[in-house]
Amino acid sequence: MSELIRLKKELFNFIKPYLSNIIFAIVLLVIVSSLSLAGPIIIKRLIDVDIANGLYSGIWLSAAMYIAVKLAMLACNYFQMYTLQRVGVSIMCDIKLKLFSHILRLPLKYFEKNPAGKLISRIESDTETLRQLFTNTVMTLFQDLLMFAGMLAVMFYLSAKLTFIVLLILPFLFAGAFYIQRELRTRFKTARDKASMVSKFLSEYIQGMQCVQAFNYEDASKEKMDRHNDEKKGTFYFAEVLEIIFHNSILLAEALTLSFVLYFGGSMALNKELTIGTLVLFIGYIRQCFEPIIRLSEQFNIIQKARVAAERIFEILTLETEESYIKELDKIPDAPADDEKQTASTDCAPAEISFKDSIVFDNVSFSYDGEREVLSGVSFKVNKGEKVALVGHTGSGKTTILSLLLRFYSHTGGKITIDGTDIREMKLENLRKKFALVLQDVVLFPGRVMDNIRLLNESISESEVEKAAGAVNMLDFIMKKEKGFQTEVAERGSNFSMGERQLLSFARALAFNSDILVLDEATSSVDPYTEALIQDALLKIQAGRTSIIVAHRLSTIINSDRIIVLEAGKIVESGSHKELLALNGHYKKLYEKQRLTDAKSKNDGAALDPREDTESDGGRLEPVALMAAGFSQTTTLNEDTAGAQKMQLAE
Amino acid sequence: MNQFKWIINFWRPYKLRAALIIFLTFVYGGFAICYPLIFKFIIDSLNANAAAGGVVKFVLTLFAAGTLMAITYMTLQRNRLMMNLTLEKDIRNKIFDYLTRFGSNFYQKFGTGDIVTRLMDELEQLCHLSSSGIFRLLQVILTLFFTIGVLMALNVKLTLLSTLPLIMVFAFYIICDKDFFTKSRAMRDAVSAVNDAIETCFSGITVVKSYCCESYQKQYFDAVMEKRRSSELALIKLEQKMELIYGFMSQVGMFVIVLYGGIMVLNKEITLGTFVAFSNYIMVLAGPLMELGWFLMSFRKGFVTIDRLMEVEKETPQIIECYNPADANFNAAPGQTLISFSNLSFSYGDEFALKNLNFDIKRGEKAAFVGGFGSGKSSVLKLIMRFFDADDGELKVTGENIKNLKLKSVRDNIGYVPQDCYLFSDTILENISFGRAHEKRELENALAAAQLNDTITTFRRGLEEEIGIRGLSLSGGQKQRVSIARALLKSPKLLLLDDATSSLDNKTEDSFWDSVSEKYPDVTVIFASHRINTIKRADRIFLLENGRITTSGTFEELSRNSEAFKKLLQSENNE
Repeated sequence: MSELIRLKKELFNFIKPYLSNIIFAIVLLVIVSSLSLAGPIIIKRLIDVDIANGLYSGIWLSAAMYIAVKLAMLACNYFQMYTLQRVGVSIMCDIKLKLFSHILRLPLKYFEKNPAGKLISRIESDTETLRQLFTNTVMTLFQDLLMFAGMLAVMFYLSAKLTFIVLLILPFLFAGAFYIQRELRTRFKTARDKASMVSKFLSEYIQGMQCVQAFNYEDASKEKMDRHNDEKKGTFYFAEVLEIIFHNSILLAEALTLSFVLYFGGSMALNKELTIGTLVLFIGYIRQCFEPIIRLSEQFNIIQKARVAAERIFEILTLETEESYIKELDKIPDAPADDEKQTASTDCAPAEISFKDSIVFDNVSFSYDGEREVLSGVSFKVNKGEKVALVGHTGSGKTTILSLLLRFYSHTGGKITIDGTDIREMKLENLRKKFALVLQDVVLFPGRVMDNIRLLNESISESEVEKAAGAVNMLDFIMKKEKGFQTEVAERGSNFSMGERQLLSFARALAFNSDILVLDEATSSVDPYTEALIQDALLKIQAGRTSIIVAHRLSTIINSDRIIVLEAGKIVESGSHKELLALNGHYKKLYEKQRLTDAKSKNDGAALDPREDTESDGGRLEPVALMAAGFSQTTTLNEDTAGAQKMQLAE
Repeated sequence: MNQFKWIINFWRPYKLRAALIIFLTFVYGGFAICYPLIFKFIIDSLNANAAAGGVVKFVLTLFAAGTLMAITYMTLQRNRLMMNLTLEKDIRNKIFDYLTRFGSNFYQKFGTGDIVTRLMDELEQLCHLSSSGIFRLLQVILTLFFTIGVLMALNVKLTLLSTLPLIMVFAFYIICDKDFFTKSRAMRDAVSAVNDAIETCFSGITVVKSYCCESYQKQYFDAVMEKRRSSELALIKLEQKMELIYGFMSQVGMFVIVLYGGIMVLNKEITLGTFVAFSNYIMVLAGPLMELGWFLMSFRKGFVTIDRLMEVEKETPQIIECYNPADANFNAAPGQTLISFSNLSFSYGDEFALKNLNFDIKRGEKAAFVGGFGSGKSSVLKLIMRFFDADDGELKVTGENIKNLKLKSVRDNIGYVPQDCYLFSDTILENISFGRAHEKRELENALAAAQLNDTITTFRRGLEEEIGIRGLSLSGGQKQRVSIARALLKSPKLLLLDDATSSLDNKTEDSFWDSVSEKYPDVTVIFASHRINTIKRADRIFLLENGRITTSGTFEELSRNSEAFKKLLQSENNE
């Protein structure tokens, strides 16, 4: 219960700025409700007074009253609805913005568990549900109740006896409605589960279609599809038929009520206990009040859903942001909160972000889950200007080292220092500005090429961007496009080849002009020409910089000053290429294998594999593809744990 | 109109049910309009101070009509619902049937997510429209006609005067429709822009964080959001305006009835009952008119969906069987040619993969294709599987051109293990048997040869163990072996291994080859590989370079005579 109060309180914070608007809408709502009660009353007057007494002038008066009341009602309704909807949209936008900026500041760990697809539904669907609750449910509920009470009052005033007859059936209807709604909820849940089974089936079989064809599995898979389809049909029929029965029983109840009222009301009218106008009013009201009953029972559902949505929203908002999360991890006393971090200024002095001397890993260990160590006792030093390559099997902890260095994760043991300062004592922003990170998976953002290189940071001038692009051999590619740097990046960067994306990420690193290059080399292969461009660009961005590279390509490895060989989270060898080959140990084995995979991956690239495409394009709307995308994203961020898991399973 | 024909085709098997639905719609239409008429008779008899018995008779009629209406409507709705769901199922099955025939060229054009969206949400909406939608439209039109008919019978003049403003509602709706369409389109675009922004920002969060550009992302999101907000408000404003005008028009109709109808009652032109009937009808009339406009819009949307589904159907399968194909014969006598390539060339679009290939593989032979990256090894195997057809030259199976053979019978005889083996989220057994009826012994042989027995025992449920999406819970080597077992279970005449033992260690691989020779003595094997351990198993080796066979021979011959082969061995073996 206290949870509920807390929810309401937080919700209220968002509503507060629009309070006057909302009150205005509520006042209008009350007016609209009472005016819409007036219609049948005027008709009653027309019948009982004007027509009964043959007053032409009365009819004119009634008609004028009628149209005046209705016009007023329509006008009020228009303003009320518009105000309410506008407020709804505004509040929803506020919540979305707040959610977005909060999620943006959450630690990386959060994103591994919550792939982008899931976050969209958090930000998008949950807020929409909440808005529905606000603009539709709460308000219609209020209006319906108001109208209902009003109608009862009028009817009661006109004829208590007849009102009792109306009330005879209603309680049963209410009880039935609530019972059926509950049943409907469970039935629809089964149906929706079945629907997602179907879409899961579809995406799996579409992706494995070549396999299906190779084994003549088409007919069997069609049968399976048919079976899934049948089940989906069955569950949906089961759920929707109940809804149909429910709606029609309301029709039946209406017929029953009307019959009762007309029977008793009719005999009362014959006995002059009741005027005909009153009877007509009863008919009008009864026909009006059945709709709200259907709505009322439906709204119970929406309220439930909205509560869940609200809980999820505020759960996210209470998650700790990266800064505070890390502070707590390090048990550093809370510094005064600097919300100014959000402003787009580079207020830190260049001295703070420049790199002067060395990076030292001193006996560093790390574990994602607190149990299994992904890195243990890792110590090494990188001097300014050095080119260091990290090599090792999948799961050996190469990528983890990069994550720790940029503090996407906090190491669990040992010490990492840059120029003698513990990175835990640095401001996160200052730390990260020392690095230019280039990842395997190049992410392109919607927008122009220009903005993609400088990541919307306008303190980097256009000429600087152009210079950077030129330096990484990208200028030709870009200029070939019709609009050059102003070219819009298509959805998921589909108008850029893999090679171009690689180069773009290099340009990004160069434009930001950080002192240390941190690179997780792409394993995907490109055509030999682009490959040469990439290698050349890589050399250029390494020039004059310190670089730490998780290396997959032989040329990169061989060109390094020093190679650190990792195995199962430990450094097993380190030295230059020649030294290590001479050792005839881990490195040599790895080097051989690398040559193989180098060749193999190029071979794979040559064979057209449709799956490559389908997976990366995987439907944003579709749950399984989302999972797959999320999974692949997780693996890039967290290659090491995934690898470790696999290794555990392998015999 | 093509779209219309398309959907009618799916209705064809259900003519009877369609007739029933139409019949029920008429019956319901009749019942639906009788309330106000009965009110009229009751009021009139009350007004005339008739005997109580007269009123009772009408009340009973009302109750009977109401009950029958509810029952008819329930039956009608159930039938419409049944057809929504049936059509959905039929269409999805049919499109899936197409999907099983398409090759990689199709799947490169349409992404998985795209196809799934078309077949799920869009299809659901379309089918709702194709049954419930169409017949609701009929229901609405009938209601309109019946109502106006009754009104006309009651009083022509009052009918014309009171319904005129309502017709204008419809006209107004059509005028607004286009505006509405563009505005709602703009809003949908704005919504997907917001989604895109969220998606890219959060899937690229590492980049965002490492370059410290959170604030710029937020600014961008703010801008996108603002656009969405304004487009949504524009739409809301239009909607409310439409609602206002529509409400106004229907109230004008009511005003006419109150004023003119009232006067007519006093002039004894109509009875009081007729007046009440009119006021009740006019309220019912407004709803259907509003709905008509709605139908216009949703039918347009439905047509777009049909177009998108037809687009899928229009694609041609990559492989088209010839007319009256023959069954493939893989029973060449031992030592006779089973597979032969003559002057065969093949390309993926512009980029050629194989050029002028000539070779014969004999029944029972183990042939290896080796070569550097992009040399075309996989393509050779894919051509034998007939995933693609050659551009030039011939591929023959026991002397018969593969193009004249039944696709199924070719693939049935081949056990193919691709480089990247696809496993489905099902049990291990189902992944191996793949719906194929098999004897126990066959399964045992396949499991043993694929070296899977030890692995299976580590699973709690053995062969019934569920493996996750794409075999998530298995290691690379395990996946490969499941995939090998799947190929062997067919007791294939020809085994194609596309680098299929790459994740096995040498010892496991040796036992694999040994048990294949032991358990499948007649099988012909063609494989592509890098590993010396694997290549050594071949009776004959073909060296591919840039899509051409440069040399062939036994392992010893090649390692003696071919410089290129030696070089390749060296790079594989490393000094």
